[in-house]
Amino acid sequence: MMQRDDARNADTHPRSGDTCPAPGQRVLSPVRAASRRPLPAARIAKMPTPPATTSPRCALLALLAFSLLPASAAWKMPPVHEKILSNGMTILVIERRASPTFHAHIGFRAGSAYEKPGESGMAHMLEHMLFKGTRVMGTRNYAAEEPLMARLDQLYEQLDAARAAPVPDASRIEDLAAQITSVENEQQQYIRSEELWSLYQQNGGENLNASTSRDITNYFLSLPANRLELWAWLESDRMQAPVFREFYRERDVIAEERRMRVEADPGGVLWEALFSAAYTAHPYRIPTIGYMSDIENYKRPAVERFHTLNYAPNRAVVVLVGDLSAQKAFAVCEKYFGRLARQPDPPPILPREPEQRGERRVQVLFDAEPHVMVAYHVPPTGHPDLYALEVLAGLLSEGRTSRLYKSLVRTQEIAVSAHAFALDGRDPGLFIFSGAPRHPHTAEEVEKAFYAELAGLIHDPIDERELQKVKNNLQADFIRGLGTNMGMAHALGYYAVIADWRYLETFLDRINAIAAEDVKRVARQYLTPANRTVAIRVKEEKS
Amino acid sequence: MNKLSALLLLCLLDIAGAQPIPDRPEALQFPKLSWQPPRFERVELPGGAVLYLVENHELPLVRGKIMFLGGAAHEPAERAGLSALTMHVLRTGGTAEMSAEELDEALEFVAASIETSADADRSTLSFDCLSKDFDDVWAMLVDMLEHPRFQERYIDEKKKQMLEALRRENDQPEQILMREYRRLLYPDHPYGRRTDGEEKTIAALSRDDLLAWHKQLLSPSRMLVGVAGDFDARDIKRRVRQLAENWPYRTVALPAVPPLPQPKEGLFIFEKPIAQTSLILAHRGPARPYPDYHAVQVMSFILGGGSFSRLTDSVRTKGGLAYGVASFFAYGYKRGVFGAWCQTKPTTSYRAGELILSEIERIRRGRRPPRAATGQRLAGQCFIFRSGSLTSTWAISRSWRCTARVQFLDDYMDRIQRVTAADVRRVAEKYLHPDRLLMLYVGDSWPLRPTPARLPTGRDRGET
Repeated sequence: MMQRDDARNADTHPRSGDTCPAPGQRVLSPVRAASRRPLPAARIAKMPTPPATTSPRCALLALLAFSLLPASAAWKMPPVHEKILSNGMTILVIERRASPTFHAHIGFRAGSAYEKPGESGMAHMLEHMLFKGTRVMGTRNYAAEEPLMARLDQLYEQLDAARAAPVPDASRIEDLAAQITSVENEQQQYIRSEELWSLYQQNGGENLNASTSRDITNYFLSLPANRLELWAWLESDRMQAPVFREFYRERDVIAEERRMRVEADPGGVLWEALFSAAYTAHPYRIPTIGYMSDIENYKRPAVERFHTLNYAPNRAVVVLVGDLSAQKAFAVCEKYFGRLARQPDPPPILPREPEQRGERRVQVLFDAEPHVMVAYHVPPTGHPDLYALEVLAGLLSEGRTSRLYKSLVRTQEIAVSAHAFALDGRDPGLFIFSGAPRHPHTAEEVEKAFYAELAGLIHDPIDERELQKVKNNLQADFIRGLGTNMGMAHALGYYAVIADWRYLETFLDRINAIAAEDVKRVARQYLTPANRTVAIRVKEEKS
Repeated sequence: MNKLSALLLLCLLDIAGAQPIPDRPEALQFPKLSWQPPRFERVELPGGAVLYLVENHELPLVRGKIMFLGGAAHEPAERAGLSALTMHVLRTGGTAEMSAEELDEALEFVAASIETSADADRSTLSFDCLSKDFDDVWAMLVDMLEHPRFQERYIDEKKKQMLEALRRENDQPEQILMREYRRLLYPDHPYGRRTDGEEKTIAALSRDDLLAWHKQLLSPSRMLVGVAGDFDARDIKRRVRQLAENWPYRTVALPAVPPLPQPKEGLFIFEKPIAQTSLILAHRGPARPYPDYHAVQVMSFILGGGSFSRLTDSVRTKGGLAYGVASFFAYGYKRGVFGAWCQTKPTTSYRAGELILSEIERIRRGRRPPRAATGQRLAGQCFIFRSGSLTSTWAISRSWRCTARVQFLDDYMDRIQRVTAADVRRVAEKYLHPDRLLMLYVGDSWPLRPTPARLPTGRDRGET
């Protein structure tokens, strides 16, 4: 899933409670899942807490008001070196010598939006499978494994069918399960579990992970600067000839991931309901993690097909940021990734979301306190109106002085949190309001208050200073977001796959050019009652 | 491009292109990489404050933390939540120079942040700003630390938010797990309490309480400062020295933290009908510093610290029972915890707990002895790598907090490398106590009834 608050899953585990985690220890094992947009992450991370207003009074304040942003304005993105290999693979390199390390990011234009009905979550399943090795990695004897995996495919085909029968035959299911266990055990002797992770980590790999979103699947890690060729070896190997061993066991792991992110998570449940209702035709309605019934029935050959179709070099962008020379990096990429053959593009995503003609409302019952989300359809990344929508989100929701916080949390005291953000994408995305009411106030009161703020923003003048504050924050967040090799690589990779990495070069200028009138116009144009979907989570009292 | 660089380029291309691609990655040769981890400057100030600095001019940013030893564990039970409320309103309630509203506006206009928090042992202020604004932000944070206004309105606001957070605290299974396992590890003790207090104690807190507690809680004698980024080290040293020397209040000792109580053992269930059960096995662990720390680090990586740990292999990869599974040794002030957790569907919650338990037993007594090398490399490599980042100041401050040993960094790698397989086995036996575990399940209880015999059977078996 691509929830904004994915990080929460890592942050709230028991270990983080007890302070002082030892250096080098990880919290979750592979957090291989969802992702969010790289850049705005910084802004989202520092989402509201609290508020207050008034005009400058003391000297200090006046001083601050005039010290706009000379230092940061002077900070420019370092040059991006670009090369397209003959097989169509894009290589982007930023030379950055802050530490003798680099971050490597590979993005494939292959997110959940590219899945077919019945195959929901397959892009994500594939992401998991790419950690299971290749014909060389993760095995002691691939030739011996191959027939066993073919046998497992057959057995699981039968097992899944038996389970789906109107009247399941328990003894047949038991028999198949026993056969499966026996074949799986036989294969185990050939498997070198997690060899890729192990090798990377023993070579100093950090931040090793992968993520899947609606538009893109990413594989990334940081390594010492002298390990470029190791990375190229391992990544080109797994792009070329991955082996989906332990496939059916991983279905169970993903089912648990879905339970963790969605079914046992009040935020996840609401998010899924919102998207299912907001989109009717476009595949963004399908959860990236997949539906449980699809997860339980994935078949290895189908995922192999998905891989062949979507993981072509001409659909991949490699981004390397760190202590390397671009020319050397190009040469290494040519040597290793140049081996991969260009492939025809898969069919484009055809469904377009029709214009919404009237409000939609959904309700979700869950054993948790209430929450409300309101979503409006907005244009995709790269559309000029998105810059004004970013500024709009800032006005509404950036910090304690933002409009939603000041009004809903601080003045009216009807909410404990209130945010707004634009979720862009390769195809048209959503502008989302999200709020948690404070008892005894209700989700509906918070919803109404969202609309009131919106109306005020459209009808009343927007103070220039307020606008400037939002731009200052977008600029500083931009610098913070690009402050690490990893941040820079992810941002470049994301925009290179879904639109054009040059988006980043012009982002700040475009933001700075936004005028109050632009903000009002996009609010009027997109944030209309007929274009909105409201999802409300209601507390379900179980005995 | 001049001739020299063209020639260089050719050489590079040649290097990359000439060697055939080996059959296995282990055959690759890597050029030597020599690298000194960045130096951290440590300054001890008269009166006890300590300052860590990492200068880094790549980005026009300054980030830092000012941490005071002492927090919620020192507050009396009937005032639970006092430290959390004090630290929060320290930030939101205005200062002598500026009202709350002016402060927010001033900070946010320049995209700077000052945030505060308190946990059981620490009260912290952190800041993050563009370097051009550092002067102003520093002035504001000093004013905040020394002369908080604690405007009533913002005390009231935070209290209401804390009460709402209480209402919402059973929404997330993980949150329940965290809260309840601490309660069981430290029954009737401040470490087992919510640091945000309870309904009654929150309601009773007044502005006078905050004013008094602020003077007691924050003292330069218990202060640790870490700053990283785009600044001049001399300037920071001068500022911090001034802060410590000009502190307007007399240092008053904090109430002592009561002695640690006997932890609970046995099986506990927090009933929540939900699609996935969260479970943890835990007992109290060693406190830092202790001589076996490095061996325990290595052992911990092997058991459940990495993505190919024994727990991951058994519960996730082979068992298909969980997405997240791990174990940890965590350290607080003069205390420690061992825990192992996972999330799994109700029907496999018993099995998952059993698997975790058997891995804990196996690393102590199993036939196949653990190989130290794997854990060593992990513990070592990850550490080196992390020390390269801007955030490393925090790593240092944390270790200071836990150990009061600053040479920690200098010999960490050496000591990790000296750990042997025998050490791993020895510390596993010494610091893992499968017979003293508490086992907490948050989820549906029916798969655990009647209580399976295999699970721990401590004297406090019960429900929470």
